[in-house]
Amino acid sequence: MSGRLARRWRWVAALLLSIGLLPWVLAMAGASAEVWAPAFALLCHQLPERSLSLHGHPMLVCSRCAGIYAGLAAGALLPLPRRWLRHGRALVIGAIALNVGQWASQLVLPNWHAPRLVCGLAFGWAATAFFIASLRAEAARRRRELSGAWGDAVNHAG
Amino acid sequence: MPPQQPGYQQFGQGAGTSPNFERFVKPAAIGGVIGGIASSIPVLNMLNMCFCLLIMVGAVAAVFMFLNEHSQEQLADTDGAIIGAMAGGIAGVIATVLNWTVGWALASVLAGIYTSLYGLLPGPMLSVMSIGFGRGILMIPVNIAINVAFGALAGFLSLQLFFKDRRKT
Repeated sequence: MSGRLARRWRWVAALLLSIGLLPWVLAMAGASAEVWAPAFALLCHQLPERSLSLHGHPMLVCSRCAGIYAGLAAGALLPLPRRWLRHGRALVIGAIALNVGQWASQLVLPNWHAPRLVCGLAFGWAATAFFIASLRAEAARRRRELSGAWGDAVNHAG
Repeated sequence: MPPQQPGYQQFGQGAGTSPNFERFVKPAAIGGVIGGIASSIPVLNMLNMCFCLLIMVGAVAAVFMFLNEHSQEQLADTDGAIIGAMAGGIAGVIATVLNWTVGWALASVLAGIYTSLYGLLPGPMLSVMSIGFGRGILMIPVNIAINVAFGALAGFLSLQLFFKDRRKT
């Protein structure tokens, strides 16, 4: 099962890309908040003062969540290069620390959209890019193992 | 390599051994129930607004339970993601259905009170209730897809951050 998932990492990336783009596309298309807001309500407070507006349409998620969703899409499109894979864990921990720091700064600083968006984007990208890169690496490893086992079988039969 | 070649499945399974899918169901279901119920409890569900924390907790709990049950086994990154995705999906279903049911029950109670006071439920209130009912059903698949995605990420990250010594490398 896991091997199949690794081989289909492009499908996983496509799923993450479409979910990541969903709130942005809905906001740009001017989708009705009444209809679509419940889809995101479980995972976001959706406070209007903490949400961005695109072309006059408020987004269905707050600016940090908008960043996280954008990060999902960015990570699916731009996974970590293989040589950076060993730094993936540090990257995710750094992105979490960045968000915690930004969240703490909100207690004293005014609520700006830009830092919330950027921090959310950093976390979404780091997690997704690391995930997709790991899937891709595992798929390559399994392909190598399979071809090795098949080669051994052919040699043995020969 | 085409899968029809003889021995492919046999050697494929031998090369990258991983636990059967069925073995993930029980821990994923328990993790999903934990995440789903926690996401439906008022006030506590506000933790979900912090990086979908409760959905992530459900996925981490699922991975933890699997590793606890199979103490000799190591998990591949993809196995962690699968357990997390299953737990996230189950949590999404439970949370959506519970929230929707509670909302519907509250609306019915309010409608009952209104009817007992005034004898008749006004048309606009009835239409708002029925539209809300329909929207709740329509949004279930979108909700599940979002929860599956975040659950998969949480399952993968939990293996990387909390259980790295049990990771299959």
